[in-house]
Amino acid sequence: MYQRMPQLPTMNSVSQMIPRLRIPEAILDQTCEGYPTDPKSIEGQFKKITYPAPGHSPAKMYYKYGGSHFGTMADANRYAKAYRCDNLEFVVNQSIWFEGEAKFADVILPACTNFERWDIGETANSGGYSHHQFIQWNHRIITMQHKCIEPLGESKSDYQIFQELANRLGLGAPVTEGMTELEWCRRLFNASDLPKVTTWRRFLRKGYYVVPAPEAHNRAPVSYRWFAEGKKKNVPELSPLPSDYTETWREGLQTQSGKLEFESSSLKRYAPDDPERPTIPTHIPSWEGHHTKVLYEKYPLNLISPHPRYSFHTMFDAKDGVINDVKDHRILIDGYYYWIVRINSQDAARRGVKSNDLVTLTNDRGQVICAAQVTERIPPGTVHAFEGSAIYEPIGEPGASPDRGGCINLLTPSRNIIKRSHSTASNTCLVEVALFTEEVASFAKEVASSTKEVAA
Amino acid sequence: MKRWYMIIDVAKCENCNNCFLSCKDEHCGNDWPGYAAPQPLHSHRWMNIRRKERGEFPFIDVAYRPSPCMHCDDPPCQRAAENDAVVKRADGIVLIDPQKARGQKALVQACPYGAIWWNADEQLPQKCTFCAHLLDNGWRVPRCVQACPTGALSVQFLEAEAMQRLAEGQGLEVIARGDEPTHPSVYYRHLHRFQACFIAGSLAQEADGLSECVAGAVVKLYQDGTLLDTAVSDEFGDFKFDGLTPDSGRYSIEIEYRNQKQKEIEVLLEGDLSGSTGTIWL
Repeated sequence: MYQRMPQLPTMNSVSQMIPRLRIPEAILDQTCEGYPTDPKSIEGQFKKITYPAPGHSPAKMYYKYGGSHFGTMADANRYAKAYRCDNLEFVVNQSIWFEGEAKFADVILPACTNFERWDIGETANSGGYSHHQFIQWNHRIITMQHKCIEPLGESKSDYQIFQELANRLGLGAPVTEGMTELEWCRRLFNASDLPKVTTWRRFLRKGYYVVPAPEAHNRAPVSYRWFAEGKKKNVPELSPLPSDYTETWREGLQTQSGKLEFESSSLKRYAPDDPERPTIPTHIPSWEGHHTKVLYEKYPLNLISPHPRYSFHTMFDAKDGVINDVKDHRILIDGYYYWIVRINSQDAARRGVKSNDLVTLTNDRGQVICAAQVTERIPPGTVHAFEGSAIYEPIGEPGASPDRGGCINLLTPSRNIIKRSHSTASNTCLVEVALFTEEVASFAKEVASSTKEVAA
Repeated sequence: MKRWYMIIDVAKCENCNNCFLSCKDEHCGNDWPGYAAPQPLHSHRWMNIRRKERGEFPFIDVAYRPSPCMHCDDPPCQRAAENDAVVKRADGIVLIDPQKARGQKALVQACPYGAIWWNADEQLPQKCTFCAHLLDNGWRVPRCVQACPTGALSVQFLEAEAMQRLAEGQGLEVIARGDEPTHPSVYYRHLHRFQACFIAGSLAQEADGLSECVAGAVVKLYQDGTLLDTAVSDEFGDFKFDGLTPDSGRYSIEIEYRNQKQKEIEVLLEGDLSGSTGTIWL
């Protein structure tokens, strides 16, 4: 409701968008395009946007929240180049951790942790564009996040930071409505059904409320049973919206045929001859893999970089936590916790690599220093290193030198899987692995010192 | 007198590290006077998860063995300790006294399991306490066992004879290390995943221009003319004989398919390496 009150500054009038993967192009080239997903309809994914939007200025200032680009975005050296480009006049970074990305900012606004601020929320429910995520848990918990200590050092909560900025812009009162974080928590509590089952006092003291399972007659029916039995849709999710049914509301699926489709009718209508996305799924040889002769001769190892097992993207990695000591997360060598690359014994032997050796992973996009783990769990010709390093620590010029933090995404391609859709292709990546030798190290040091001179 | 025992199922551990992390959570920055000084944030592994890979790609097996202090009945650390710094409690738990053990670095070397860690700041040898501070306050399991989501870690509180019967009945094993018997209180299930070798392979055939896995073939394992074991190839054509003694020499594998002997293949087990026949084309 509040977002619909146009006199309030929480209503954002700027509709122009930049795909996260195209932020570097938006800054470096001052133009990019994308296909954002509008989940209101199937056709919502086909709408092309361009940046800058008609009548808009290209961005001059970048306000960055956190520092996860280098660990999670493909061909991430692009971000270093964008940060250092003259097109970008001013960079603010608001983060808890002083990770590699924060160092690119002109102004750093230190944010406090969850332990230093009040909040209220529902466990495992992400909100935003995905509804009812808690159903994977089979129960719901509303949680009060207690402030355990006052924010350390100069740090402030995100709310306080925005409050201070709003005050300076003369917008303090309409943004905050004169309320503190804790008062907002209470307002949200009162707006929910919680007051019917508990009091603010009790909820605050207990810290959580477990929502009981609904009565049997109130529980949602089994997903898609209605479809299997040829009935009308009877599950509570919002989509598809009434206008997106081909024939009659609640009858059949969202596809144009209303049926499960092996050949996609929406693609037949939108782009029937797109060689990259045929209307029937087909195997298409990779553009960067064993079939790409020239590149494969130079970089003969296929790199796969799935989500990390012991951290969530860049969250929980590094930050001097004990996760660093998990043997399969990072390896401590000469006092530094290195990211791990897993390599088959045959590939390792051919390159003189043993377990716990420092190696470089290289291709035309960049170079990353990792600790090798020689293993039989990966087939010859393939190497495995998780994405999601929270540390970006180039040993020379940022964007142009090896990273010893372990940002594997410096190596992955930034192109979309297909041109006419926003999509990442991080697991389509060729590299070469070599021992990290003294020569490489001294070259990197040279680059580092020359960079310092330039900076000085 | 009942005593605490830990039973660790190697086949159920999948390296999630919840035990390792919960141990850190319980002991890092927390002083438990009389039980243990705080564990340093880094470098110690009171619960140490060891990995074992057997075989060569693609015929491999990976297993994890969480290894805490073994809480031995005859603890080598106690023999090495001065000033009664190591105590074997009546309930079986072995504790290093955080006051008396100060400066006794010899304890670290004394443990044949590598389960004692040196805290340089406190000048103190430290190790797993079985979370005795929790058990003495009514907890039924230590933190690591509580945090284990797969049931790989469990505890028993039993008379020694009852534990002996349980171990024999369920084929539990202890790990022998050092010159003299240590009689650990930590028992392992499926320890062959760590200590034994296997012979594996895969069966395939060409038919009508297609390569297909051969399922349902009978595979027999012989040594010196004696039939040791029989397996049937699965839907992927794979077969495996596990639990073989390392370095146990030459084996012969006989493959029968559609009631006819198809092939006989020799495999040698040398050192601690497992063996494979590779893909056998019938």
